[in-house]
Amino acid sequence: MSTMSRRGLKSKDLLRQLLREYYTGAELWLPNDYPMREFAFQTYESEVYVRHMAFQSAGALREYLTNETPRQAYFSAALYRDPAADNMEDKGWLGSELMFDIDSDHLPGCGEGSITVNGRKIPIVRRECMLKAKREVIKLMDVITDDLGFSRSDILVYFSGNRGFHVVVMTKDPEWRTLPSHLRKEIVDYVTGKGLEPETIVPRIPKRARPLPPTKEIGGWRGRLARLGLTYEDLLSDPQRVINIAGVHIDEMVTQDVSRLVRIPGSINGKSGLPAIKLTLPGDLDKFEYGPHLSPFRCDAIVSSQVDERVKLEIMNEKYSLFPGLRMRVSCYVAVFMALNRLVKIDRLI
Amino acid sequence: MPSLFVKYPYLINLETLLSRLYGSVPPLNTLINIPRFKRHAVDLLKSAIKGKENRPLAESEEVAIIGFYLSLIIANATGRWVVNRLADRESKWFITHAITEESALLEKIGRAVGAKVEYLGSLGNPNGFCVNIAVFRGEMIKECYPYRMPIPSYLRGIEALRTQKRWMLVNRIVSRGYVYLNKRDLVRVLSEFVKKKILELADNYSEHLNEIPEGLIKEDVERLKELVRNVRGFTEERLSTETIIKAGIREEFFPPCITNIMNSLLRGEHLSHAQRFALATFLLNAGADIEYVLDIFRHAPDFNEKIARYQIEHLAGLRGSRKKYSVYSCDKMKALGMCVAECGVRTPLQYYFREYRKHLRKTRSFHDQGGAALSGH
Repeated sequence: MSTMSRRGLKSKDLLRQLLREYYTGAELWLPNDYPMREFAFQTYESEVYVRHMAFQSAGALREYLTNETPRQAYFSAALYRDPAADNMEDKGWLGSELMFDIDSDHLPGCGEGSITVNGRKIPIVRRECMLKAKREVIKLMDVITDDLGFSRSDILVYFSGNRGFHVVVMTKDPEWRTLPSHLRKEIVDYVTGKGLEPETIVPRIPKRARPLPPTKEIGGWRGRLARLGLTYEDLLSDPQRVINIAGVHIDEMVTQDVSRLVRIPGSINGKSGLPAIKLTLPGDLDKFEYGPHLSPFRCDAIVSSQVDERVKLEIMNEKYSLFPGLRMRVSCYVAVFMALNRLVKIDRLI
Repeated sequence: MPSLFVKYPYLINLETLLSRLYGSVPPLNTLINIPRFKRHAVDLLKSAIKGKENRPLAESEEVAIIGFYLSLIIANATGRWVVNRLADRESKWFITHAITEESALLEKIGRAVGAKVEYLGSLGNPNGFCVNIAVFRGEMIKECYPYRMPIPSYLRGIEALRTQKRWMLVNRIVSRGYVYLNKRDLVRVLSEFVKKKILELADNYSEHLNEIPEGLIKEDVERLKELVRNVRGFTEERLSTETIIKAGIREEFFPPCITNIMNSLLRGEHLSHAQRFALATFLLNAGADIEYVLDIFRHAPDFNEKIARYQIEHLAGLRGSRKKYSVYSCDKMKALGMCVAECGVRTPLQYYFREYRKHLRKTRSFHDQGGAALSGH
């Protein structure tokens, strides 16, 4: 349904209607082997998680999303013999992709990143922190390609729809896919710099020899020093500073978890109302900017407050104040954000 | 100079050798009846049990290989400790001898034990991949890496070495999906593959044990067990899990991760859902009854007897789906950030039974020698 034909629309649950319309035409991205993956959703009404689902066609998935309008939609990073089996033991784990998660609120100086209203955590995402997160993704991409050896075509990068980015290495190599959790920890440490021993990185040379600086060609942490213009002296004099600069701030648990769920690119993130957006490399990632233009909901809405006391919040660096009995006109992206977080009810679309 | 298979008999498949030698594969009970084969097998095991780093070298490839595979069967009949001892000794022996092998040959040896090694050298350049690191008296000093391994293969190799920082991926030369290694480090990594390969072969050959009439190896097994008793102070007699459970819960044998969670709880700290699950399933599977688990959870700041009892009974398989929940694996504990030490086990429960078993063996051995009970229980 177009915005024009929706004008003046008044119905019981306009949020759900907006989601339904979105999923009717949404560009969803699925890997080729999606029938071997588990799908999981958070239901619209009761917000419980429904797991252990499998889809044999993209059409069936779209139909499910359109009918059920779940708050969150995921597929597994793992491949299973029987993805719909009820418990993990019976699924028959065949391997899992390598996954990285960069959250802007976990970056130095980006704070807690949420406020709590009626026991519900409401995300606060700052544009400058998203820019920092993007820089981390660029650093991570160098590590994944130059050091871990994957080609850009193997890598799925997308905006999570809320406050960060997901990077999934869609490798076909069974050696990588079947890497157990405790060995993935080695990848985490490599990426973050945890456990780095400067003495093993810096080459041992005779006393009177003149050391040469690290070069990009050598790879490993020596190469990373070179790529960032750092020297062996920097590493030896202040290793923590070097690790902070050259290490990538990833969520360690995500990379180690071999049964992690991946948000479906193109689906709506139920915390923010923004879609998870697949980014091509390097173009889309370079151009990516956090802002209202990311929302597919282009209309205005009259909303009525559902809060019991005054609530101050920030959406895309814009400040809002809600109090009981308030009725106001806002852009649809704001209305969807607030309605998903049960702060308002959408009364009318304009 | 002994041949490659005399030194490293596990590099060749037994069936391949037998077909090559005899045109067919004779049954194992025929081979074990041939004294020179069995003698070599028993000698290999004796030297491994005694902890000798050097081991007997067979006079021919035929004896070396057949003797080695027979030693796996006899080791299985003697006990798991002997299997591990054999794998460990072969791995150490490999470190000492493989370093002297030709550089290019290590690629083949590596591949035969499951490591995806690439030799980067050539006749003209035996050093492989080199980088300039310094200048000394006008000469370039290079650091060279004649080998590389794909990252996942390397990680599988250093699985047991990860506690030493120098083996961590973060401290290695890594480029385009490969870890670059010098000869000494490659041999050390390959020795881990050798150990894994022997344990894997031993598991496969444990199934062949029933093909051998008991009388054929009984005397040898008894003699080896006697040797084990002399070295360890006790034999591989298996204390069953049931025996341990019957002996009662002993908190001093809890693994560090569970002790950690339990101490938090006893301090009245709030536990996460995963921590509660890990602790409750551990206790239930270790043989604790509902009341015991409930008493521990009484320390929780949000304790509610009715709810806690229901949840514990649910985990014990007495309610709901009637399914008894298993403990988290160590991998899962690591992924959830609850693992606090490398214990060399797959589950916290395995650690508990292992430590408990050790204790029971000690007390039994003490009893056997006429001592008083050591248990404070």
